[in-house]
Amino acid sequence: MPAPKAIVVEAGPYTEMFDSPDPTAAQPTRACLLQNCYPLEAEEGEGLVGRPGFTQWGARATAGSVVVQGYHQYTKLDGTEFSIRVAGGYVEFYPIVTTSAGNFIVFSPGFLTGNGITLSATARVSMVTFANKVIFSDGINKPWYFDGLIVGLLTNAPVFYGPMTVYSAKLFGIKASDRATFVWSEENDPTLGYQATVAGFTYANAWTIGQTDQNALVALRGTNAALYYWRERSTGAVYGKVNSTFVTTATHDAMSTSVGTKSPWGIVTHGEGFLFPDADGKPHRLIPGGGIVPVWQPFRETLATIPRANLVDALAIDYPAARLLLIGYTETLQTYPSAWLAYRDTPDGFKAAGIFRGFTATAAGVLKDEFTGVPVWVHGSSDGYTYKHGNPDGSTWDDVFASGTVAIAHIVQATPMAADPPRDAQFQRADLFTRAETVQTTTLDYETPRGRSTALAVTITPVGLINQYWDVATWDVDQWSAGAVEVHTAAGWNGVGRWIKPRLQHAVVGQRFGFIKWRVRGVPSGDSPSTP
Amino acid sequence: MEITQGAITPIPFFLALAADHVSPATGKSPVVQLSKNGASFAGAAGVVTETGNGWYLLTPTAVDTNTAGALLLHVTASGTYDPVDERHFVGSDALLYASTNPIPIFHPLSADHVTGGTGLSPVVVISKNGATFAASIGIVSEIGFGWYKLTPTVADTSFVGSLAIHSTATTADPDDSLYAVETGANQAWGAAYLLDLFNRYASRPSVDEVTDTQKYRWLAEAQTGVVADVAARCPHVLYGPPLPLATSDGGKTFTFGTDPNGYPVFPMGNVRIFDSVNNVPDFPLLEGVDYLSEGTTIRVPNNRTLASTLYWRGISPPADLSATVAPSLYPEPSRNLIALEAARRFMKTQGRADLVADLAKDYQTELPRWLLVWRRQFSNGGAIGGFTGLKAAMFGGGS
Repeated sequence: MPAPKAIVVEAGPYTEMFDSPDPTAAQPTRACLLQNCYPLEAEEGEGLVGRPGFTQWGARATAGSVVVQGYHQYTKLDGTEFSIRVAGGYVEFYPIVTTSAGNFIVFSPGFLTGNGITLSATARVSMVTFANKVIFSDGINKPWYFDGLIVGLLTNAPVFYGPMTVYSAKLFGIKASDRATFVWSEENDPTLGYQATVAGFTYANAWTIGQTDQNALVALRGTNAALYYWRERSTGAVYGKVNSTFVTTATHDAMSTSVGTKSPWGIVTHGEGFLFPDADGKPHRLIPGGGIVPVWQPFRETLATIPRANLVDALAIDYPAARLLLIGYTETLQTYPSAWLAYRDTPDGFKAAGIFRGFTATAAGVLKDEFTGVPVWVHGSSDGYTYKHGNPDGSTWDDVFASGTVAIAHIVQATPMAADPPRDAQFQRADLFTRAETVQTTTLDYETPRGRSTALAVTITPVGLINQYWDVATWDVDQWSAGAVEVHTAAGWNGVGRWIKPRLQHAVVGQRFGFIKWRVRGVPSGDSPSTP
Repeated sequence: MEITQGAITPIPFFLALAADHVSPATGKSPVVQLSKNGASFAGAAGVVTETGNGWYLLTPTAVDTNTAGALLLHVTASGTYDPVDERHFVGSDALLYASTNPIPIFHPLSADHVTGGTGLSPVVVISKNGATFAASIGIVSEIGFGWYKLTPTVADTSFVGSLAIHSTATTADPDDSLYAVETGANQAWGAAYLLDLFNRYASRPSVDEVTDTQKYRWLAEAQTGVVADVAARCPHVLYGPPLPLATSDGGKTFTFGTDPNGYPVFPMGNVRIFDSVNNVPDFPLLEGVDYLSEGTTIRVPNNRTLASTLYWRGISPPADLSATVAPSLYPEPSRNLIALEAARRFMKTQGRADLVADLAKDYQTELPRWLLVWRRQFSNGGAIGGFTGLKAAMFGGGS
């Protein structure tokens, strides 16, 4: 008797995440959910790897269990480096060497007050390097500077709203007291300019920019080419030399009259452009000369769960080691950003790479690794710790909190596979092809229109790779690697439905996650009843 | 304790003061070493924390528990606390049929009963299912810190039941341990073997949403079908000894007992009734004359009663095959029929008409072969021969 026509569908290697539940939006290269994992060079056919974990970096904040307010890498012109953390109103300058090492320099609130400076103990702090100084602004008090030797209050500057920026060799900021106006300093001198009167001369370094939209400004970012500004529902750019006629001679470009942002800290520079969330939390890409391009569609379902009221807290980071751009959102019932939407910059544009979860961050930044000088992503916690994220070539695959090590929860969920609107299929087998550099203790289940299956425990064991590492393997006992990373594992299924969405989960300390693709096999079962 | 392979299940241990061997040693920093499945001891990668009252906790890493088998924990004594030696198991602590996995043995010195004796030459004897102890023919070797291992031979563990191990060594305390030896795929044609066959015929991976319990149900149902096929053609291969019938009405009607599922036994396979075991097999009662058949009951005709105990010889439905109930057919390779039939029935529900046809064909090829084997088991052809010894003597013949 001839065999029934088998249904064999494959998905992967995944190049992106696309969280639509619609079977019609499914593609073999799209995953419905990539949590804590992301595609490597997916365009070259490589699979998914788990995000590197993080470890505690340096000592706890001087003030103890306090909110970390910001990070900045201050590089002086003579090459002197300072990795800066602000936490609990203390400013701490590292090099950070060990978890027990003391801070290199600490500016206590008392020290700052003694120099006429007031720094909030809780507000997010913006820092920018300008004129060989590092400028601090907490959005509540006047900004101030440190030049490597002394601190000084910028008495002539107003209180700034949100992050400062540098454009055309001037320091720019939005006036907190008049959010329709931004001001700037004199060239290479943060102590002069703005709207200050010094020695009888009144500077007019200010622009109330409101030709088409007079709502409050939310963010400024300067590049080599232009000064970009955002309101909630519009984005613009000004070009030209910043001089006494800047306001009247600058070229003005309305990038968008409908897309802006509510997230002053959620804008990340990438090349000459930016990635930022709009006023509804939806990521967009600003391409100089190319306008503003929406890139939020792959995260539609995820973004729908982010409260708009939390968008003001969003953070954004360029994660250089993994070549990812991430925007961190504060999810429901969270106080700080807890879900990081990751993007890859590919020849085909920005692609959604996945969602990173498992930690909350009060601040985030890129600092230079104290030993290698390589830029690393760090984030701060609400209890005074700094955590350094690993790199894909490293060995950190768990989240090592000060309170203990937590396994990273990896999830790969497929978009609906084998979708056939009127007919059921009986899904009988799944073949997994994984990247196994360690044992992976996983669970595998699936969803059909009829519900979710029981999870199966699937242990993926690499061949010849166990204990292959120096100082771990035992001579004459363990086997060295045969060089194979790809492992095939099969699981039997017995599910019925008009489509199937497999899901693989993994969360075990000490294990590394990797995934390539899967294949599902079944046979047609007959016309599906009307429900489900 | 049993630990899942690759899991980071915390392992507690107690540290006693060396002064009295019982008081808890607190505030210490014990260093734990592990031996995985008989390998040499090495430092544990996991973290040791103090719980309190002399108890400490090793939270192992996935590397610490990545090897199935005995996981031995050792803490070397310091000047203030005793050594610690514990045996745990990654996976099951039971042995599988015909297993040659190393079995740990610990010999503390007789001098203090806590310090492991090294360089000893243990002598091991084993007892299978309560039988007299006899020397193991496995190899005993030293692991370290007073731990040794018996690597059994297949002969040592080719049974199902309890395995008691008694090891003695000069200047050391003896070691006595008890293990369960369970059926596994190693036991040819056992229940687990048939499960494995089912998986092969039905192309099911070892990790399967269809559980072993469900598959044993398919096998049990298939066995019922195979038994029916055998009962119709070669019933004698499934006969047991003559069994008494029961009566609850003074001998008017008789029943055949209750099967393992609680139903009245429906006897099969040319059942014969006897009024005395001395009449087996030459003088059975005649159906329709001496008794009336009513399925699970026989009735004495004309409302009479029979005072004597009646016996029957035939086939009782076997107990349902399961992980703990072995299949019923002999010789064992004939049990392949059960696996084929179970896989065929299962594949019908999977819509695999192609494999269903193939499996049916295999069954139809195997069954006649075994029928012939059963018929030819003895020279007279058994029940099919139709001649009892008496009748053969009276009439001669039988083939």
